[in-house]
Amino acid sequence: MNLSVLTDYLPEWLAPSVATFCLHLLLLFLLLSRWESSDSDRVIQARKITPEIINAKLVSIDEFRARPTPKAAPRQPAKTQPAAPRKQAAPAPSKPAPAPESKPLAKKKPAETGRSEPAPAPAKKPAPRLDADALAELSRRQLSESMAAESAAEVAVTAEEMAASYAALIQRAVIGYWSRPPSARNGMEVLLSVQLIPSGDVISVSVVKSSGNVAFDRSAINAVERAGSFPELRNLPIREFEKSFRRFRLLFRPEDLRY
Amino acid sequence: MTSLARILLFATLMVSAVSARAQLVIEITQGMDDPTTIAVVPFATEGTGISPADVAEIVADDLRRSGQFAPVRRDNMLSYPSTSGEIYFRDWRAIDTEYVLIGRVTPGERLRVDYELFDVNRERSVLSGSQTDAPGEARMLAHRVSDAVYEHITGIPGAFATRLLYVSVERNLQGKDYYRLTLSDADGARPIVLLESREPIMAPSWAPDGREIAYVSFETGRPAIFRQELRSGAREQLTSFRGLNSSPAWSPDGNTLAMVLSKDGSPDIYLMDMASRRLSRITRHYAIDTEPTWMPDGKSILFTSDRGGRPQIYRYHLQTGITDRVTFEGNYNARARIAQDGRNVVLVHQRDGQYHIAIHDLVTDRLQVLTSTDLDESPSIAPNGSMVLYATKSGDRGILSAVSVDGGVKFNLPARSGDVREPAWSPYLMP
Amino acid sequence: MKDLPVAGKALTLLFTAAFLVACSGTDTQQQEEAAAAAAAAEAAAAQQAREAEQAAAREAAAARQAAAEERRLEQAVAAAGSTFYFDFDSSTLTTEARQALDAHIALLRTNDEEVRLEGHTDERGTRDYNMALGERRANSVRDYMVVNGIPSYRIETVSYGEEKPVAYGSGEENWSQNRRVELSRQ
Repeated sequence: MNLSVLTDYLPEWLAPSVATFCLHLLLLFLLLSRWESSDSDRVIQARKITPEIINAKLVSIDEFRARPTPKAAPRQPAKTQPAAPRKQAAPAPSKPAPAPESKPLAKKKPAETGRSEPAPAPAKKPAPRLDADALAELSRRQLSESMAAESAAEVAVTAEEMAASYAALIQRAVIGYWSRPPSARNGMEVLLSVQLIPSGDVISVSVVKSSGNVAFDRSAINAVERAGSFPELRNLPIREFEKSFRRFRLLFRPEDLRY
Repeated sequence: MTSLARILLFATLMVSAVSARAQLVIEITQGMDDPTTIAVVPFATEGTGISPADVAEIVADDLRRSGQFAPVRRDNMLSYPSTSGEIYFRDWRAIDTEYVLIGRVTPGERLRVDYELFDVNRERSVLSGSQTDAPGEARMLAHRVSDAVYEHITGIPGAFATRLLYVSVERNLQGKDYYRLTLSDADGARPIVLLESREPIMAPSWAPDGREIAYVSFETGRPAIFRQELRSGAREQLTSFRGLNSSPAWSPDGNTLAMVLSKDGSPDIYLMDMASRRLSRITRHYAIDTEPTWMPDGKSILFTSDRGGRPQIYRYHLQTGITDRVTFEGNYNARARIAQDGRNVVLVHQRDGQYHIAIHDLVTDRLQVLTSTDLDESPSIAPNGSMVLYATKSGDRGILSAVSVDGGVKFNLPARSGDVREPAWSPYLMP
Repeated sequence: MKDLPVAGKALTLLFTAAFLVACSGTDTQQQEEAAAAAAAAEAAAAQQAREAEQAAAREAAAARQAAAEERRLEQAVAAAGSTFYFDFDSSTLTTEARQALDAHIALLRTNDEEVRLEGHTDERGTRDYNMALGERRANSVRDYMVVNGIPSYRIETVSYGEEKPVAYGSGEENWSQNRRVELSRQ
């Protein structure tokens, strides 16, 4: 009501412009935010998963980012050779050289080993000393850029794989607890909604779409309740947990029964 | 609402709707089928009398034999509650129990059993009931409790409060055989001899109301079909034709008795109308036609015939008079019995020279061997279609054995002296 | 001995005739003829008596022979035995069975005894189907007997299927003994 009073005092073109502006904002928001598939849910099939995490501790994100170390390896033989003849000269300049270089690198990747830092510097040593710092600066920038790009891509792939691995874990646990009643038949379907908390505990299970067979539905709920919790999910970054596992669905559709 | 508000609302709804559709769905397409753990706590006795039976033990044995349940052992139970207030669910969860059954027995002129079933995970009562009967029927009371618990958890009616007929043969010291037609509970308890004879007894068969039976007796020097009422013991000879008089089989409505007679040349299937005692002939083939059994809808009859050279199962449609062949796998398929679902047929199937019990699915036409024992015969299905009872040999002795319809559970019935054969599982019985 | 009265009568007649002829007198040719006739009659009577004796002897011999034959047949039947065996899942008579049956048939053709044929099977297979198989075997034996001259109304067939084995236990040594038809004379 207030709005209609207000609009009397505003120019005619204001309301439509505001609406248009909001719609454009909305459009931008929809385009820029990350989407999964447009229509269907992400369905994890039993067969397609090759889980990497089987009853083992999840490696941390930092260890994933440490993968670029193999790239520095080829430079290591170069490091040893110049280091030998330049025993005296090397220690002196190599010390201050790694020092300023390691600092900016250290800021980005604290767990990185020290091997990669001296490598670019001694490699450049055979080159004219005049460009040592410039070259060092260049290579450092190049390295950090490529590393950043790599880690960004890897974070994206890793998160997808992780979600799939954890889904497989949940799937396996539930399978181990699912005891089908004698009235169960292949093709029956019950869809459950499960709610977890970040510790991995199940706090609620409910039937979203019943199979029509009470005992069958109950056996599915029992399977989840007997599983009770999925403690491995504690290792999941909170962002991934919220996205996929705070609330998810379980579709029980047996294919291994006699008929 | 103004158009602006409407647009914003629509936008909000669109966003939230789309993000809801992006939920992860994990598919579960197989299971482990571990038996359900259930604690059947010894029932308390109310009043001053003594309970005539250990109800909890009978219930636990019933549930365990079904293969679907793993009852908790009494010495593993931390407590013996008999009322809901005495149950500490945490204790039961600690030993991974899914259900707890408690109860009370009140002896007296009429025996009364009260029971209550609890879901440990949800910590609440899911089933409660009461059964009353004469004290002599204490075991049947317990079986009815088993039926109620089984049906609640599996969705299928239990078949524990049912009975069996079977033939036993014993040889005395002079080497003479004695044949006995025996009636017992489905678990083999409380055997009663209905007929004893020096000549063979065969093919016991239940009427659908569970009140009378039919069988073949050689007491006249030739095989003849008799019917007998269970309560009164009254007997009547139904046939005395030359040649075969065998395989009596009651129709689902109890009005017709199918049988095999060879008086007209070769063994053929005949139907006797029980009201008029008139016979009608339904197979006319020079081959052997025998072992008739009715489909649950009463519209067709399965039987064994070797008109194709070796014994196979055929089906006669009463309305059209058409006979078609049912089994095509293997060289010997005989003695069909059909479950109440009208789909599963158990029969005797020969494979690699051995005789097994197999199950043939009328819908998929698939045949699956259920047993690994040899010389199996006379299969009989429980009225809920879950178990098959059959006769087999253990060493040189004839014994009764049971296998679940999916082949998963197997057990032998308590052995008696002598040979046991030809089991017939009763229909559901009225108390 | 029953010929004697006839012979006696003939002789009496002959002697009477001879006496009458002799007493009548003077005709010696008539006397000679009468004497010859009397002698012929006497010879004939003796001949008849001899033949009668021979027939009796022959009959006695025949009876003795028949008795001996019956004994022989009984012995053949006893030697053949009253149980006829069959191959697995078969109701066809084996050669041995047929030979044994021939002995029975031979004896049965000489009397009007009735027989009962009991058909049996081994334990393999279902009980009711085996009842029909046992009947088939009994019918095989019956049909062979009927074809060889024993009317069917003298034959009764009953099947016991696998219900009355003679050998308990499994294995071919036991099973082969149970696949049989037993004949018993009523």
